[in-house]
Amino acid sequence: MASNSLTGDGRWPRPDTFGSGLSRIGDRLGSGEVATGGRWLAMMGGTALGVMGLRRSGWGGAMLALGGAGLFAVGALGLGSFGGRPLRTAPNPGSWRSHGLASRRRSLTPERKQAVVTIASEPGTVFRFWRNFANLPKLMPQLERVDVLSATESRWIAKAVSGGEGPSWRCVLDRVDEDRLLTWHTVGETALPHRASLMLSPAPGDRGTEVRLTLVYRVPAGEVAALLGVTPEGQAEEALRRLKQRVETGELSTIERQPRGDGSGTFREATE
Amino acid sequence: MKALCWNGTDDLRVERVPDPVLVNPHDVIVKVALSSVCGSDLHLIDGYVPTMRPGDIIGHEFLGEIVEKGPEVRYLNRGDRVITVSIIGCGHCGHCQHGESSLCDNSNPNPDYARTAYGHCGAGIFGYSHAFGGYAGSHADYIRVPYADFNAFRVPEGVSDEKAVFVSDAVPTGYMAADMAGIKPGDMVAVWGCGGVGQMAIRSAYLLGAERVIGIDRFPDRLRAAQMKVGAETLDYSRVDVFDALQAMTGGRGPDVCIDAVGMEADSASNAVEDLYDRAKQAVGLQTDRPAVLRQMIESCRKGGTLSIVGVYGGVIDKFPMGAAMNKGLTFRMGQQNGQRYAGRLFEHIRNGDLDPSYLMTHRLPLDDGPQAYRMFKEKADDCMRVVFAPQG
Repeated sequence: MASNSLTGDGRWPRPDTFGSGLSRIGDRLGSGEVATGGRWLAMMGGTALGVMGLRRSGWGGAMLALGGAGLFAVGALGLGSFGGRPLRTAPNPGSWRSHGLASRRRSLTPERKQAVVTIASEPGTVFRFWRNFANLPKLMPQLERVDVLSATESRWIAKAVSGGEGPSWRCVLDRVDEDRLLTWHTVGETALPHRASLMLSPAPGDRGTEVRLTLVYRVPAGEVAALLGVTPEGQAEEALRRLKQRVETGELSTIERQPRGDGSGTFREATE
Repeated sequence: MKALCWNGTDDLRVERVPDPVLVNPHDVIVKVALSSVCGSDLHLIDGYVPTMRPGDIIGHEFLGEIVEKGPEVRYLNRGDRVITVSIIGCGHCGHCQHGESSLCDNSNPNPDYARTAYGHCGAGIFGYSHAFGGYAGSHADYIRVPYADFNAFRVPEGVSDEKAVFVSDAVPTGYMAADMAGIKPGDMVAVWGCGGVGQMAIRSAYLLGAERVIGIDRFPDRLRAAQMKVGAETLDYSRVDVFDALQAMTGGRGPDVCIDAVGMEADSASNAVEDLYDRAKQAVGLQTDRPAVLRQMIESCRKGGTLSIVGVYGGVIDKFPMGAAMNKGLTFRMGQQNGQRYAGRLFEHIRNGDLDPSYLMTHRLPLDDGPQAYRMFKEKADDCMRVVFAPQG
C-alpha cells in the first residue's frame, strides 16, 4: 500500500460499529493480551525468586534460583497455561489464530482484512470509480473481468492461477450509501464465499478522503491465495494502492518494459 | 542503446540494452545530453543499498532533449531542452501538492520494500535501487521520464547545459538544505562535506542571508573550491578539531545552522577510534550507516540551533547522542530534495548570475568511461568534484 496506509485484522463488525471501541476491545481480548499479562507475572515472579535464590547459600538457594529460572522460562516462552506464543511477538489482533488452541477456531472464524488509504480527492469521485464494478479489474489484477448483471448483481471472474478456469462468483450489493458506504457479498455456490465493504469518510484538514476496504473471506487466507494468487491482505492493499493512483493521477506507476542490462553486453567492462 | 549498469558491489559495466519506450500516457523519452555522477551513487556502488539488482542502470542527474511524448503530456514538446528532477513526483497526491514531492505517494511502483523498512514509502528515484522504485537511470543514451509535466523543466534561454544539468539534483539539494534550516540574516552556518551538494548548500546559505558559512572537508581541492567559488571559510577536519575550531569561530556559541552534505559513509579522520568503531559495526551489520557527521553536528551546533540533513542515510545508526540533541533543544530538518518546488527559482538565480554551478563539472567524459570515471570520483583523484557523462559525445 502506498503511503499513509495500514492493514488490520479482527472480527467483522456490523457497519454501524466499524472501528468502535467495543469491537477493538473484543479483538484485544481475543488476541490473548490477558494471557500475556499472566506471562509477564510469571516472568516477574521468576526473576524475584531467582534473585532471592542467588542471595541465599546452599541447596535451598540453588533450588529457589532454579525454580525462579523455570518460572521465568514458562512466562517468556508462553508455556503451560500462560498463553501460546513468545512475548517477542507483539500483540497483534488476529495473529492468535495460527497458534495453539486458537488454530482450532480458524475454520469457524472469518478471515477479515482491512486496508486503508487517504486519497487526495472528493469522496464522490472515489465512490463513483468503485461503484462501477466493471472498473475493479483495473484495481484487482487477479480479476479477469466483472460483468454487471443488474443494479445490484454482478458476476466476478478471476484469472486462473494454475491452468484451467479461474474461480468465479456472483455478488449482490447490500448497502449503497452514496459517497459513504458500499457493502456486498457473494451468493450461491462459490469456492471463495466472502463479503466486503468500502467505507469513505472525509479526511481532516482538507486532505481528501479516507478509504477503508474490508474483505471477509469464509475460507482461510491460504485457500484464497491458492485460488486467486494473492492473500486477502495483499488483495486489499493492492486494490487501494491502485485506486489511489488511478483517481489521483489517472495511471499506475510502473517500471514494466524498461531497459536493463544482462551483464553480457558488447560494452562489458568491469571496474575491478 | 548504451547504458552504465550496476552488476554488483564495485562492478559497473557499460552494456548494450534496449531503448526505453513510452509506457504511461504522461511519459516522455529524453535523449540524454549530460548525466552527472552523484555522491549518493557511491552508496550503491559500495554495496550499502540492499535492493539493487544486476543490470540496473544508474544515474539520476541529467539534461537532454525530449524526443517522444505520451498523449497526456500537456506542457512539454518534442525538441524541448529539459532537466528532470531526480526524485519523481506524481504531481497530484497530497505531498506533491504541498511541495513535498520527494514524499510522493504514487511514484514508487515497488512500495513494499520501503514500507517494510521505513513504515511508509517515499517517492521513486531514477537509478537508485528497487526500494526507490527501480526506475532505470540516466547514464544511458535515452531515459523514460514518468509524470513528465511535473518532473521535467524546460531550460530557459541563456542558461548553458553545463549550468542547467545540476538543477536536476545537486543545486536543489543544497538549496533545500539551506532553505529548510530557516537561515536568518546574521546566522553562521557550517556545512559538512564540500562535494557538489555541499558547495551548493554554501552558496544557497549566502543567498538566503547567512552572515558567514564554514565548509568542512579534508580534500584540498574541494576546500579550495568552497573558498574560491562560493566564498566559504574552510576547515580541514583531518588537521583541526572541528568542535574547537567552530566554537572559536563563533564566539563560543556554535553555528546557528549545521548542514550534513555527507551522509551514511562519513569518516572520522580526526578520531581514529570512532572511525574504527563505526566501520566495524557497519561491517558486521550492527549499523548500516556511519553517523560521524551527525554526532559532530549535534555536539557543535549552538543551543537551540538547527541541523539540516540532506546527506543520504539508508538504515540504522548506533550511538546517536540523543541526550545532547534533546537537552540542547536542537531542531532537526531532513529529507530528499523537493526539486520541483525549487527549479524555477534556481533557474532565476542562475540567469541573474547569483549562482553558477558549472564549476562542479571537473570532468566531462563519454559513457564508455563510466567504470573508470566512478573509480576516479570515488577516490577523488585528479581533483574530481563531478564527472558528467555526455552519451551523445
